[in-house]
Amino acid sequence: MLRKVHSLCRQRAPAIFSRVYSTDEANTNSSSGAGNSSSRGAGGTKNATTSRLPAIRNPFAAAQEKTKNTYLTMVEIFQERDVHRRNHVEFIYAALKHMPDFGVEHDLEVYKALIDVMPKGKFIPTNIFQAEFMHYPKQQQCIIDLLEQMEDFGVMPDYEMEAMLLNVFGNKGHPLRKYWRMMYWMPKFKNLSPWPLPDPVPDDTLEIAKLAVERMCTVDLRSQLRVYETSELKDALDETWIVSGMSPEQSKLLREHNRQKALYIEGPFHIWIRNRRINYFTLRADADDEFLAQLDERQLDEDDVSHIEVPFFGRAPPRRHNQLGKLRSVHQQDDGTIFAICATGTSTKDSLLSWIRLLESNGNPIIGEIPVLFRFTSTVPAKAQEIEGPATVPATSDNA
Amino acid sequence: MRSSLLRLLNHQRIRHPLLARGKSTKVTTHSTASAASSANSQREHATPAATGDKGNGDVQVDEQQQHKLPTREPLVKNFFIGSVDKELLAYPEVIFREEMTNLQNALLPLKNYFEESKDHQQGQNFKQLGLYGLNVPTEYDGGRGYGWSASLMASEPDSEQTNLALELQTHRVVVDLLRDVGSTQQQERYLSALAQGDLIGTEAIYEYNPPEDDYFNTQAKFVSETNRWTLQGEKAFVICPAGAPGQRQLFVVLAQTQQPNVPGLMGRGSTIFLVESDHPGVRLGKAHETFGYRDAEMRSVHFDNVQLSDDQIIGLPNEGNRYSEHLVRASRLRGSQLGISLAKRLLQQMTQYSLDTTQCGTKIKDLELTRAHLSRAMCSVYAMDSMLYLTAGLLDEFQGQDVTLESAITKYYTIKQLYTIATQNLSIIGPKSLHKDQTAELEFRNAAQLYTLGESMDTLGMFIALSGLQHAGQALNAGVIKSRNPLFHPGHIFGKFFDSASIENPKTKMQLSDHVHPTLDPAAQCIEHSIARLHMAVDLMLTRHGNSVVERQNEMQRLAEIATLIYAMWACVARSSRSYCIGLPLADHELLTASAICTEGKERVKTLCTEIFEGNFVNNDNNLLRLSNQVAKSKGYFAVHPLTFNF
Repeated sequence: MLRKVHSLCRQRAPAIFSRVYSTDEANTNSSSGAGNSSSRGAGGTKNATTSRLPAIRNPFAAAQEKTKNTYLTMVEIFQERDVHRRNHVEFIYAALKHMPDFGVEHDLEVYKALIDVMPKGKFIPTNIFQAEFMHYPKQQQCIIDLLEQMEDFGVMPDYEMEAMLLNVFGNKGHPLRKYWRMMYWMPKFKNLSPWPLPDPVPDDTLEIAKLAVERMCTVDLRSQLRVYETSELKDALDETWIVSGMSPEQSKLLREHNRQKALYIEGPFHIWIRNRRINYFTLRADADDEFLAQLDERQLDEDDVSHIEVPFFGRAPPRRHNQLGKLRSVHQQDDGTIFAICATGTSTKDSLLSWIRLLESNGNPIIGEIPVLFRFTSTVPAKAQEIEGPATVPATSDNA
Repeated sequence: MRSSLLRLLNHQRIRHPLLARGKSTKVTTHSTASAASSANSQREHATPAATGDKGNGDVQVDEQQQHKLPTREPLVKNFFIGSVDKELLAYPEVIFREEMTNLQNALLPLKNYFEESKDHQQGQNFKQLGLYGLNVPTEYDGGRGYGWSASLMASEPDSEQTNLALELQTHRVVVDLLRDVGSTQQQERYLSALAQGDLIGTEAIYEYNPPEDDYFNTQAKFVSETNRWTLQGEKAFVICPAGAPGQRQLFVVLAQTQQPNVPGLMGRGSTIFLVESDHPGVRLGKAHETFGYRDAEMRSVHFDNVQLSDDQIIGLPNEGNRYSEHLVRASRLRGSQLGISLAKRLLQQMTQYSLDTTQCGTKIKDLELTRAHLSRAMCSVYAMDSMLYLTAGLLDEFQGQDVTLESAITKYYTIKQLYTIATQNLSIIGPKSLHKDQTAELEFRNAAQLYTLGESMDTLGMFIALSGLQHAGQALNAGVIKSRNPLFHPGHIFGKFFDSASIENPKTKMQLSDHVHPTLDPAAQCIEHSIARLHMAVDLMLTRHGNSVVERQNEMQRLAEIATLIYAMWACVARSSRSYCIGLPLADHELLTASAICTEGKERVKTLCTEIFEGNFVNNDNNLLRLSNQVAKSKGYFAVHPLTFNF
């Protein structure tokens, strides 16, 4: 099959040749170096059959089956075709450009295969002037661009790549320096996220919703994530899933909530998990100002040390005031108390209603006694939009 | 000065024949050591108020208490504010000479009984020996009327028998509580039966799962229609008489109660109830499988709607915290007693082992490492012993003396050191010490069990520090407010600037060495410096944190350790000075022990105080606190495997 592709490329050479790299913006800056070949190539388009074909072609755009295997095969073909490997710089640029089409932009092996296209030994400077004045600038720049692309996609090089770069450019080469800088920073950044995502990120919206709710629930370490199916309820219209996050502390706050004060379901808010957006909703109530005022420690005299209490049994209270154990929980924010969050498969009112019913039947019977209001025109998303700017980034998945 | 003191002494003797008994023993020390006697005579100087001051408490005053001297300032609490009661450096002699002879004669049968027979079936024998009535006043049948010191001495023989010791200990704690704060009616109702062993007292305080917002899950409600209390709940780790099912018991139960007419958290209180085991609704639960003290039986006890009347409440309802001071004091002292006898036995075995064992031609006892181990254990046991009887002596000698902190410290020190000694056993004897059912194994288990008995060591440490800070806070409040608002009080701050005392070189004028034998001069100096350092550390902590000092638990643990060490040093110096002055056997080695304890204690106190002074950024507290955040987030160990690759 590989041979077939090969021959296909050969047969269709003129047509492919017309997509020559003058259109490739990555190549424009190297037009002086590649001027000869590209002008010759341009001339070649007119009478492709008569003149000798330069070995620049863009097989990537024409490939029918866009997989890693085809990609690597094409690189291999390029290497085998010609002992001089003419126009390998252009070839590499083209290959880089088409990586996302083949889904190989995160694959280190592919980058290595591209570096392997470079001839070994030829570009190694032999004296200090060559070393300092960027010996073979076009080739070096090409590999620097390749490394840059790796960095952009978060692909970390390895020691084998260092050896390859050494063989191609010597230890004074600029790509090597770039490589060393990358190897200093990239490992440090790799695991810096406090909420690491699985690699690869799952594609299923439910899985991503779970990740999103789990991430938001990290504010309270006792939070529990539960996945409900609306089919558990009798009269639910939507058949979908609900990912709900709630902690025992929130249940307790809910139990202690004033029955007269309504709960609000607000949303949808957005959270981004890598390049996917998830809508979520909160169950909240207005802040209990009275309680918060009670906890206001500004009114208390910190300097007075004449009333230190000593408990006889059990642990000493961790706080100086309200020694009876009243503490502000993380869920009691100034603008409201948040009792639970959820993401549903459909984000419809009906699914949220199901959520409330499921919460009620799963350990929070109190919800039945409190009025629950929908507030879809929450002011918060508007504010969020103000801060983030209009959502120009397309939502690739909006709870399909 | 000495002659004037002597004159004063004679003068006192003539004016107060009531106290002549106490003096006759103390005058004997006078001829041997001027320093010790001057302390004694000064103490008697404080006596004139004694005769007028007695018997005014709401607490029942028995005959013994009428002989007590007036209350003194609390000893250890005052360490926190840098003041000392030098006269308490005279080790209390509360059992007078004739009484001591009587006591020793009375204790002979007990000692013989426990030494001879190894297979004790309790019950009848115990009742005959009077083990249940040691600390019950003599008015009640079977009561021997021993005070704190005497009853602790009398319980030494039986605390060697670990399977009985726990039960007897908690029984005596209940008796102590009834004697101290029980109403006359309650005393008449229970004390005779308790003394004769027909009724066995037991504390039922702790619970398996304490509630989130309260101290206890066990609750009592007052029903005004029936005029009765309803008790509901479950207590755990209740010690029951082993091998005697159906034995009547008297539980001392702490329950959460709500004050009438005061809603919410403000009205929350606790109440101490006396509940008999044959009361309807009381049910013994299943026995706990414990790690140590496996012969003793620990059970959970259920209370299902137990109906109680007002006269089954100790003290006042909702004021349980006030009375529990008596309860915890008794259980701490008596718990320490158990620890001490266990520690003594461990030391004895360790010594025997190192005498008997030879490795590569060298006796283990000659190895420097073993010698240090043994000596350390010796020092610890000596300190425990001294602290226990000093605390008991203070209770016996002075009326209503505040020894809350002293008793807590005694337990804290005893149990911690006991555990250290028990683990040393592991390193000296090695794996043999953990063979099943070997003595060493059983004792290691018991030491571990004692470590967890009742309150946890962390809580106890916090209690010690908080009590000290409470006392210091009241005394130092004005100064602390000034230091915290320097711009309003420039004079105060300048005064502080010119103060030349530092943690390295504390300035003291206590002259403790005047009150002990001259050999202990350096030791007394150690105590002085340590107290001065503690005072500086407390002052600094209060100034630095204000009343949020209660949140600085790391520093408070240090404070607890410092106070504990100082009290240990104090007790040892007092005891060894007395021993040497009256020429007790091996008293010179007691001096050596006391010196060793003081030298080591002083350095430790200095280190701890320096850590407090340096603050959380230098002493590593900050690192630890930061680290704990991630540990909590990762729910445990967070580092990846050491061989993990990143690229």
